Amino acid sequence: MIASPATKPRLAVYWTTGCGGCDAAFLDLGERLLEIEKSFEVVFFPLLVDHKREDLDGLPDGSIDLGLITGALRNTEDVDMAQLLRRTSDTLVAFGACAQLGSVLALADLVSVTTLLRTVYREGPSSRYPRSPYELAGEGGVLRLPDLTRSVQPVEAVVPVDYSVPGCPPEVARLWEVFQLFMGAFDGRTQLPERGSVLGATGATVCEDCPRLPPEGRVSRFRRIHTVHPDAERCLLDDGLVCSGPATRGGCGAPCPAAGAACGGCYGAPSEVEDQGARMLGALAAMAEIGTPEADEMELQSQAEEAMAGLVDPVGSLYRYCFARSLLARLRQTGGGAP
Amino acid sequence: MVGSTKPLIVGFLCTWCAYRAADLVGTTRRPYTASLRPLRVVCTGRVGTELVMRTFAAGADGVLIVGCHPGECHRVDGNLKALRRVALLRLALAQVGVEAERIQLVWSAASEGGAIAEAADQMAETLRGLGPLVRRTDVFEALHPDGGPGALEGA
Repeated sequence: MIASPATKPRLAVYWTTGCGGCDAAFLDLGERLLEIEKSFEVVFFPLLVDHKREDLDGLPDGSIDLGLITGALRNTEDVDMAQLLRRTSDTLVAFGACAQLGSVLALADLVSVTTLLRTVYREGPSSRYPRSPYELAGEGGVLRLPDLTRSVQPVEAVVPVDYSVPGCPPEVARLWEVFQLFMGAFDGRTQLPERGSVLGATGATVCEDCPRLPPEGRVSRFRRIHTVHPDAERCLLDDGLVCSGPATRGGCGAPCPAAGAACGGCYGAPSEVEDQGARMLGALAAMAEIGTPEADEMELQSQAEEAMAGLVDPVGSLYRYCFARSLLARLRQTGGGAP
Repeated sequence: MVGSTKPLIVGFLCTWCAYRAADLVGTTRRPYTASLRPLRVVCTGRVGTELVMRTFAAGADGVLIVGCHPGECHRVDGNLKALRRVALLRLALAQVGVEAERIQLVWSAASEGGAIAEAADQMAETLRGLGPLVRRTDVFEALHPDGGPGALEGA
C-alpha cells in the first residue's frame, strides 16, 4: 500500500564532503528510485532536484521523516548542514562510510591542515590555484569557500544520529533493503530496529561471507597488492596480503576478496570491536611467522621486524576507513593543527 | 618507589615469571621508579593491540610489557605473540609520532626482579627525555622535507 500524497513521509538526502560514490549507489537503484519517489515526498535531494539550503531553512523541527547524510564533516558548511538536517529531521541516518566513520578523508588528519593546504594548493605538480585556497575572485565578485575544520569528523561526532548504514558505498541490495525497511515502517507494516543500530549489515565479519578457504595462518612477510598474483581459492592473508576482512563488519557479501582484492574494511568494525585497525593489527601479528621459541632472542626480534617491514603504511592500510573514531586519533594532540 | 609519578608507565606483567620477579623487587626492598604501575596479566600473549592503544589513549606515556624468556612461556608461545604485536604497534604508532621507546618488551625469569626494576627505571629516564606522549601531525614532513613524492622542484 502506498500512502496518499497528503500523508506521504518526507525524505531529505544530502551530501557533505565525500566522493559521490554513495550518491552513485542511489542511482544504481535504477527504476527502484521511482518507487522511492512514489512512497516519499522528496523535500531535499540535491542529487536529483535543484534544492538549495533555503528549502530546508524554514522547515519546522522534525518535519522531515527521514533525513540521510552521505559524506563526512570536513568544513564549516558540512557542520552547519548536519546541524540543520538534525533539527529538521525526525530520523537522521549516517549513510555510507564517510558519514558513519569519517572514512578515507580522515587520513588527511595524519598531517596538519596547514600542510594539507600547502601540499594540495602549492606543491602538487598540477597546482594552479589562486593565492588563497578559500577565496576565488571572478567576474561576479569573490567566492568565499567554507573553512576547513580542524579534523575530519563522522556525522555522529557533531550531532546525534539515529541509524547508520555502512559501506563505501553501501551495497545496492542492502541500500534497497534499508529503504524497504523505512517504507514499511512508515506504512505501519514493520517495526524499525532500536535507535543507534547499524542497518544494512550483519553481526558477523566479512570472512563469514567470503568464498575463499579459511586462512592457514602463517605468513613470513606481508606484501603489497601489486607484488602478488593471488591464488584463486586461498585466503588472501595467506598470500601476505593485508585483508581487513577479519576485523570488518559483514553485509557486503565479500565482493572484494572474492575478486582477489583485499578487503579495505569499509563496513567498519563489528559492534563488539572498539578499534578496527588495532584489532586487525593484532590479527596480522598473530599470523607473522618468526620461527620457534627456541631461536635466539635477537634473531626473533629481527625476524619479527623483517615480517612487519612489508606493511609499509599500517595506518593507511588498517585504519583506512576508521581513523577518525580510532584510539590513535584520540591520543593527546599538540597544537598547530588549526587552519 | 622513588621519584615522580610522571611520566606514567603502565606495566603489563605476566603472572608466571614477570609478576613473581616484581614481587621479589618488593621483598628485597629494591627501590624503583614511581612511574611504573604494574598490572598482572595471565600471559603477555593476552596483552592485545587494542589494550595497548587504549592504555595510550587513556593517558599513559609508556607501556612496559614483561614476559617470560622465549622458550620458557607457560602458555607455550604467548610471549612471542607479544613480540610480534610490539613490532607492529611500533610501526603504526610511529605514523602518528609516537616514539618506539614508548613501548618496551622485556624478558624476565622469576628470579630477575632487579632486571625489571632496572628496565622500568631506564624507561622512566628515557620518557622523561621525550616528554609527555602527544599525537603529532608533522611526521610526514619530517620524513619528506622536500614535500614528498609528487612535489615539483621550485613549485
